[in-house]
Amino acid sequence: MSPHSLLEIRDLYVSAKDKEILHGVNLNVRQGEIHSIMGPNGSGKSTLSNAIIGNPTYTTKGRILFKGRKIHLMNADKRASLGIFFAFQSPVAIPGVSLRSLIRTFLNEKRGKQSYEEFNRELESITSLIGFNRELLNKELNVKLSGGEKKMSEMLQLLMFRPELAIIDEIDSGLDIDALKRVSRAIELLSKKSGVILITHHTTLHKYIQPTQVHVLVNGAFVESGGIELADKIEREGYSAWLKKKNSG
Amino acid sequence: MVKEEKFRVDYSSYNFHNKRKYAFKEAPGISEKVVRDISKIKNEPEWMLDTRLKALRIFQSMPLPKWGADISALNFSELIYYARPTEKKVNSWDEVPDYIKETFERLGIPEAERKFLSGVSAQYESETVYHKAKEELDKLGIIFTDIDSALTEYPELFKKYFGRAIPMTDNKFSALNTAFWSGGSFIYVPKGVNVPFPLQAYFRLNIARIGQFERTIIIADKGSSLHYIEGCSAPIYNRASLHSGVVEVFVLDDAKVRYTTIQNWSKNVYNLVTQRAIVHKNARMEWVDGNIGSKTTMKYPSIVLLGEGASGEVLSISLAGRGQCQDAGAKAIHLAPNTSSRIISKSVSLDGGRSTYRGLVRVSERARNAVSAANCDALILDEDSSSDTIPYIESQREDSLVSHEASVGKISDEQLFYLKSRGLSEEKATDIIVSGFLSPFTKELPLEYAIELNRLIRLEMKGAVG
Repeated sequence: MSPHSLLEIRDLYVSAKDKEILHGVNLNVRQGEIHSIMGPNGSGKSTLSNAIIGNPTYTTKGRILFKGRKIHLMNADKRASLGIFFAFQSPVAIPGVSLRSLIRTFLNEKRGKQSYEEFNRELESITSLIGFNRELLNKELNVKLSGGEKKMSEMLQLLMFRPELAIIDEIDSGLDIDALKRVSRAIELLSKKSGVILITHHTTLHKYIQPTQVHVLVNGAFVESGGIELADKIEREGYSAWLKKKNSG
Repeated sequence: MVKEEKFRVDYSSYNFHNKRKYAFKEAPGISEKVVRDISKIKNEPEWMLDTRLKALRIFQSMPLPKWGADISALNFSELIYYARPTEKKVNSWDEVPDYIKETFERLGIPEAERKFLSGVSAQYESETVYHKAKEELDKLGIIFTDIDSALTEYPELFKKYFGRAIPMTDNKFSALNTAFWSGGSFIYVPKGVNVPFPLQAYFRLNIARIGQFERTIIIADKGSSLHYIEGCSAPIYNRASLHSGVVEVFVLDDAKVRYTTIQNWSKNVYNLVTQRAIVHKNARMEWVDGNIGSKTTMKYPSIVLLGEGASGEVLSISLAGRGQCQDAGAKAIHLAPNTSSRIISKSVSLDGGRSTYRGLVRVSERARNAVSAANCDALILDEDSSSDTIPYIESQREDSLVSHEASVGKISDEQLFYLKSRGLSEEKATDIIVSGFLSPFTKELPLEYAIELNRLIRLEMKGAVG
């Protein structure tokens, strides 16, 4: 294991309903790095993030290490308590539960009971940072929210959670440019102390967040990794080059 | 939620039994002698004794209801029908016997006493022992007293309303209550007076095999308003107990009454309650009814919309855990034009519990343009548990608008996973989803009750889930 490694994925095979979706992937994320995982729809991006956070719908083979600890057999709540946070692309609605009370609950669980003053101060500063509409704090979680509002809710939770590893699924869909800029700045701030994995199939996001590494996932395997120039290539040519290779090979 | 710390209650303390001497205790069983003794001890007028005796005969002649929860295991002859812990009533907190204070203390109620109980009537077993009416209530001419005193002090008002909404012949248990009633609240709010704070009563059962038949009468005179809160908890015993209360509410023209109950009887109590409100012209009645405890509950708060423009709402929740059967619901009887009713029912079944929504909406010939909407949602947490919805709708008018919507669901894996991904255990995640499901009810409660309810729910779910 390399020093300061936060997340280490070795030979990971992931299946859902007996169908293998990921066919042996490797990934290494260190503190301070932003990894962008790109790929066409259905390439296995969501499967990978679900496997990392411990969605029980998926079965895995191989190893996932977080800060040197094997986590691939742990429940999702245990993984979260170690410092992994997943911002969902389409988070589920939970009627009758306010966003504010949910954040308060998971923070109390994670850090022990915090005073209301302290909690409110933190909430205040993060809502200002990302321009979060505070009215949403008292609304029911993801009930009757627009796509953009759900995204912002996920980002607010993420920033309040202060994870060591943040996995962010398709953050750019549904957010307007201003919101995306503010959120991107917040992610960059977060990445100074944490590792970040961005899941995306567009390249738009990279105008605002500079990834350390870009990985291309096609048909359940990483086909290429590199720097930002890889994203530029995708911007120009799409995924056709890899898809063709796969098909002809 | 700001005051959460202050209301931390150790619910393990519910399961205890204070030792004390009872001032008077009847031999178990039902007999004319018991009825005569109760009436004699209370120094009641002749008419009340006659009423009790008549009710006893009706009770004995009526069969158990053939519908609803299974109550065939009830053994009436094994219940004690009357007990009171102290001889005389007291008027200040200082005079309350220590063992009772201790009980309140363990329930975390002294805090509530200081902060919230401006006018308090606490019922301890069959008898009201502590009653403290705030000066403010007197100034406004509001009567808030225990029902036994009301019979002596306000005989005409008492006689005018006793049994008017719920006659002894209504059902077997209203007959039983009428024969053996003891304790309960009596409230009269004069014309145009708004009671400035909720009136609250705490009471608990604390003796094995007790039968508690409290009787409450509330009269809100024209244009007045009142919120009455009744919360109860009971310690746990081996023998089955019976609680069979009767609550009669009279909401006169343009008045408004809200009656909030959170019932948390111990798991051996049969809770068979009759609650009915007569709602006059342009008046409004709201029942806010939470059923958490008891072995078996049968309770259908009713609104009888008697005057034109009258409206009413029944908002109820029930939680049926191991060995519990919550048969709860509502009745809305539309007897006048332009009346409206709304029923919202939420039930949670877990750990083998059974919950049933049983509701009746009746629109009479005279009720032109009646509107009634019912929404019943059930949440079933595991495969051993069950839920039923039994709505009866009887409308005699074509212009009435009566709707009933029901849903039955489970907690979705998606919701559970979402919360777990935030670091919450399966148990905690389930708690949150269930509290959220019940929140339309919880929101209507005063803060301290909402907190207590959430704690009770959490306690019920502990061990049953995950």
